Amino acid sequence: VFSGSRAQDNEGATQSPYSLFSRFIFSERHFSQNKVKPPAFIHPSRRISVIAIDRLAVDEIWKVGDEVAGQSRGPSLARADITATAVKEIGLSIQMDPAPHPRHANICGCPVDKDEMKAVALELCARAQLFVRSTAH
Amino acid sequence: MTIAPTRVWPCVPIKAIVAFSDEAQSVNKLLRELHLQIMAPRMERFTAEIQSAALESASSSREVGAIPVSPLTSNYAIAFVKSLPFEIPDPEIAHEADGEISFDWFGAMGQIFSVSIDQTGRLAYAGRFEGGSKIHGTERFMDSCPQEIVHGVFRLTSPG
Repeated sequence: VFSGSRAQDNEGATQSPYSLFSRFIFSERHFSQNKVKPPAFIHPSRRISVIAIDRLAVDEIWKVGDEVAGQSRGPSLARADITATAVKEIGLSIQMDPAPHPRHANICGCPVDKDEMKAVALELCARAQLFVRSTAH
Repeated sequence: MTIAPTRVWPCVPIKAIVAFSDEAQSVNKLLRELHLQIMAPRMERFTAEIQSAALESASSSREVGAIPVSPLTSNYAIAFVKSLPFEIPDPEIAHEADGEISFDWFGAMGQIFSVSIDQTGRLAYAGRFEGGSKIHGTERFMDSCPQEIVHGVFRLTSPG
């Protein structure tokens, strides 16, 4: 789908054994009550940091997000859940990156060209499910 | 009276109309004033949102590796929203971790059209429309809103 050059990210990294991942969101500008917005899936490294959430209870998911993504950012406001299958359908891959946490991974293979990256972000938004965090955390 | 638009509607900013006769110049002046009156509150809101997004991008809570929005990018973003035809619905404005400002429009059925501007005035856009149609591309911002972007936004409300 995207003909531009792709980053050869995380060479030698471990393929993910997990099926469901969360992208934690820390800005109110990156989601609304019912949708994830494209800027939530943009990063200059072209690697989108996510956490595997298979077999985690809801409160554990938010806790892991706070531990990893939120170390210097405060608690997350929302999260976008996306399946490994959906990521592969878009033509991207998921590589485990356990340095910050055993469940940490990166969505890799994002295009170099910004318009193609935006098109990928739109696909991720369309396939992701938004969960807004309760204010009583 | 001769009024020569420099671009085809609907991407014609009022300031781009060239008037030659006295009557045309009077009409042009009235149109400019009307345009400013209509657009002023909208522009103030957009400018405040862009500045707020830029400020947020520079906060200590940004993602590791994220790039703050530069003043140059903010200026281009403000110029870009000023160039939007007033028929276009308000975009949702956000900073991106690569230091760009994003303008996003959402359709009722999950359609999305998104435009980013960087510190060189490069516009990168992508759209996902009803029926699975998709587009993406880049344009250079040159004081007026590129037709591809106007058409992309209108496709959210006018399928096909």
